[in-house]
Amino acid sequence: MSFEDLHLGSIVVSTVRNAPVLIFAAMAGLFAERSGVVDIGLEGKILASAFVSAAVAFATQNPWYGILAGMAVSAALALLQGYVAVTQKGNQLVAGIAINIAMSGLTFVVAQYFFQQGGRTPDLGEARLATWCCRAAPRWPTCR
Amino acid sequence: MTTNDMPRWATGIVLPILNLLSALLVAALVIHLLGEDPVESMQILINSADRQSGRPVVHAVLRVDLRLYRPGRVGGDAGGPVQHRRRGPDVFRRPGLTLAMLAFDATLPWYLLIPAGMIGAALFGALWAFIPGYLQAKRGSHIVVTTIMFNFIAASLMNFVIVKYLIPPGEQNTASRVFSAAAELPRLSDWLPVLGDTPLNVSFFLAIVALAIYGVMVSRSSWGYKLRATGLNKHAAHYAGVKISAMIIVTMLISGALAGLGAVNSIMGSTHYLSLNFVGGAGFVGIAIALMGRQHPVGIFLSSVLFGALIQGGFDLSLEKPNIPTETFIFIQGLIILFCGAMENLYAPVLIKLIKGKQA
Repeated sequence: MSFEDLHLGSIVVSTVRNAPVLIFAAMAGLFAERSGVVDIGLEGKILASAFVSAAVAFATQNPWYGILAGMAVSAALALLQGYVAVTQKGNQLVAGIAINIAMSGLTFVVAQYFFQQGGRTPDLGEARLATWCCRAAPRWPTCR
Repeated sequence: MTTNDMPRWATGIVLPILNLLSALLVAALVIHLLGEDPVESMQILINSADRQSGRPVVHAVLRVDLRLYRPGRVGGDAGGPVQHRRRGPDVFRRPGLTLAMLAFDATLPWYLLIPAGMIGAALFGALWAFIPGYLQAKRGSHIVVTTIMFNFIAASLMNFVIVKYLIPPGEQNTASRVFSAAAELPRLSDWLPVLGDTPLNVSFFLAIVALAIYGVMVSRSSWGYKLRATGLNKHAAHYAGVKISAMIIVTMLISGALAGLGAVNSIMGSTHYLSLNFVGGAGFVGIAIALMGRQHPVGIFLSSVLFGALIQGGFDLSLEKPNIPTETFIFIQGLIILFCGAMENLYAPVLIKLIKGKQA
């Protein structure tokens, strides 16, 4: 096996591409953990916001609206979780699990209802964030 | 007047039913938005859950499955709601059962084989849960984090073991070979043909026995008193002479063994081989059911039957209504966990007012 067979370049690229999700999830978990909340529901929030941002970006053909909508939905779920944990004095862990399970079902159902593509959102095409970034910086290496 | 002062019928029956109804109301709203008639859909849900005969009734298995998990969860819960020592998503059912099966199913008769499989499953479960328990008791690791990590480890390990050793040559499906007939748990339909062709099997009784033992051990024994004391206040329990670390480890061992027994139903009772995803989220749902059942054996029994019925009803509903995918049920499940598990006292203030008003 030669050095080229390692595909070091593509490994680095995919590492960098996958890292932001984990960075955001880790930060979200850290904020919660610092205040003594065990946020099991992060997975569900990520899922819901992924679906909503993709759907909104597709509908408006503008990825920035997608990002805003995704953040809003995620924050709304966090509000629900806060209502359960603070106002209702419920169990944080169970609220998180409930959000995870409910969202893993709901995103599929709604995606199927709107787009009829087996629970997936349609290809964003021009509405991808990368396309918009390339409009801002056409000389960036990956844009050419 | 807090929820503790309310009569038992109010906290034990009225509140869970109100919560369940609100969850189903939200579910009905979603079904309505999807363009289907909620009332009709609920009828299909209920009918199919009732219908036992005539075709394979998956929900029967699922019920037992869930029930077997539950005590594990509750045992853990009682051990520590206060310091977050809730046994998180417990540990995957390990392949112990299958290994025992595959090793002996050609040689041993059924009356030795089935107990061997159960013991193997419980033993593996206990051993697997021992490590997070030990880490929590002796090293102070956060048990929710370690058990989640152990779920991942177990899943990957299962994958490795199946693909590397257990998969029959020439097969693509990641599953072990089918056990010999001696390893099959007797099905209830063998004795009661009324039930029809259902995978419901004797592990159902195993679950009920486990629930009874759980009820007696936790609520009626001195050991259970120590366990609950540890859960409520570790320091006070320690001051009273309870060995906290031993308590944590023993609780985790029991919890793991019960979770391992959950595998008996689906593997020995229904599929008769080991596949990758036979757990199907029962670990997480189990926590919610334990809460919904108010950590009481009877409550746990009723709520797991309800979930089993809903799971089966969900399958049938999606078959009959093209607009409602199977995933709708996952959503409803989440809603029920939210309302019955997390927001269990949502209607308590209203109910307290009503009761007070009557008394005055």
